[in-house]
Amino acid sequence: MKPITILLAEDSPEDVELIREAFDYHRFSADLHAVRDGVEALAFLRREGEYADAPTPDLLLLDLNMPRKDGRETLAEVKADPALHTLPVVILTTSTAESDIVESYTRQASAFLTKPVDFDAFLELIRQLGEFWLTAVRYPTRAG
Amino acid sequence: MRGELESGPLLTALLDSGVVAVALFDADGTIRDANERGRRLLDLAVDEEAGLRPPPWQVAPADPDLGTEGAFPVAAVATTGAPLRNVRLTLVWPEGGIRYIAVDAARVEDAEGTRRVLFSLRDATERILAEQALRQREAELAEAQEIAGLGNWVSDFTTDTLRWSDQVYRIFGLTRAEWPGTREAFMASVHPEDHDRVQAAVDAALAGAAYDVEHRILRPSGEVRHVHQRGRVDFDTQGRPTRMVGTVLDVTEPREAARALEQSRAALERQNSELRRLAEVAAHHLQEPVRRATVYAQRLARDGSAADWPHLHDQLARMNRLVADLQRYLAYQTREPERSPVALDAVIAAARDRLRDEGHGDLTLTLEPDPLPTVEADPAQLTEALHQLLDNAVRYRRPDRPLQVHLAVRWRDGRWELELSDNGQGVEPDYRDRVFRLFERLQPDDGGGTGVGLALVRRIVENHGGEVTIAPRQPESGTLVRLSLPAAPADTRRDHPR
Repeated sequence: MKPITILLAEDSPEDVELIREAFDYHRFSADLHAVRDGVEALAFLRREGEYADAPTPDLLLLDLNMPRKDGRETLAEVKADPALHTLPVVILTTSTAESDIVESYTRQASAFLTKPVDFDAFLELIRQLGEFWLTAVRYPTRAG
Repeated sequence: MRGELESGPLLTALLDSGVVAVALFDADGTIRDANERGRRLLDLAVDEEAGLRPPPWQVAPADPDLGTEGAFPVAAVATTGAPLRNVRLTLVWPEGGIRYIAVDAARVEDAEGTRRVLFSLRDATERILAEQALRQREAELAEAQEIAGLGNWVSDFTTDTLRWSDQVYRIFGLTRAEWPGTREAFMASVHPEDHDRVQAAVDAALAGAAYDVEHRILRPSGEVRHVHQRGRVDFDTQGRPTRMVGTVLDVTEPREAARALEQSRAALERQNSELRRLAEVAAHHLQEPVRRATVYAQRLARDGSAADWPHLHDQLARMNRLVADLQRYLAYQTREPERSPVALDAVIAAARDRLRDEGHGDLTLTLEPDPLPTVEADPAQLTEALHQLLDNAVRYRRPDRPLQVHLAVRWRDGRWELELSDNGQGVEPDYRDRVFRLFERLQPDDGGGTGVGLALVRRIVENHGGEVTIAPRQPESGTLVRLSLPAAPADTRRDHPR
């Protein structure tokens, strides 16, 4: 079976590193790509510029607070784009704000996850995320 | 040839009939004779032996308001022979009675050549009292208009003239002498930017709509006032406009009060949304480094991997910066600026010194004009803002060329405009508004900015009642930040003294 391709939009290199570590820890076989903000994420998804040869992600893991274009705007653009709107988007953020949760679901996010402060809890969250999104879920067939 | 009317018997009948009142004066001013009606009008008694008694009244002194003279014009007419018409006199009785009369006078000569003056007399009391009442009403109306600030006008299309009440002249800052009273002259007083709107309102009124328009006018002094005009057009039976009448109210003060209110409402709304954002920040931006530091600390405790130490340190340092910047920002959130005359040279020098102390001195700074003028502002706050802008210029410089910063200051439209431009990376048009939001950054976590700097600059400028904008990026030209600071709040002078 072809491994799942995941695009991670996250401005903090530390958090990217921690998520990669957690994936390795659980031995998830996923093709994980990281970009640093919403502008890069949309370019990646649309294969623009330096991302002309980028693979087509099956899942977008999206941080909310990022420079230039934040997760809220990125989510809205993805869902408004007929070529992208079936892409499942999971919000992965430090935020616990009710307004962020409501806004994310209103804009058709598939799930809203808060990064736990505790590292073990963080590992556990990634395990659940991986088991659900990497093994249980069926994705629409996507071009590319 | 004399007509029948002018023959003796008819004239006698006319004098006796009581239709006309006449009196004959000697050239020295004594009343020689009067007919029955004349005697009644002049309150003259006849003594059987001595004839006419002297009049019981005196002629009051001349009064230009009433248009009265101070004496019967006997001498003038007796000397020149030129008749006089409609001379007004006030007769005053010692016990307080008053009577206004109007007289016509002509010189007559008897058979011996003695010159006398013949007066035809009319009671003018009602007319003069009516005129007086009318003048008083007009004065009261003018007074009421002045108190209310409301003027009225009449535009007569048949004569193509425009008549203003005194209050309209006061509102427009004009005198009757310098204003020709035409519609063109009125339009010349309308603020150029409102010209089309006023013309459209006039056109609509000529088409039958109510005239109701608020616009600005320019006084000859250059002062701008806001006026509210209401009026209507009258039409003749053929539907042609005959005249337009209306009122002008000076609404400058309420408009300015409303604008000030709107400004403080907007400022409050902004503060509220920033406070909400601050609350979110506690959840997001402060939590992020805390969460990561916790993770690294846990891993250190578990694995003792030396590689986690610098990560832990970085996160704590970032936390430290965030808290410090947030504190700096909050300090200006509600602080009223303490204004005083500030030499901009000193402020920019202080900002630059601070930057140098922080190890960022390597930039070329040019000033325009040099030396810079003095403005009214809070010196500490302005220094903080300029320091922040210079800090941004250094932080977002282009690595391939030496950093040049230019500060241009000019007085424009009642405000000081400070333009700080550099040859750095610039800000793309999409982000021109975002950059002023708190904790907004345009670059990924680079260990540098926390996204407080420009929000702080905006806070300070708005504390001064000003505005800050970033000009769109021109290719290769870097960033241009424009601060516009009003003169002292109550100062509405057009030209600032140097």
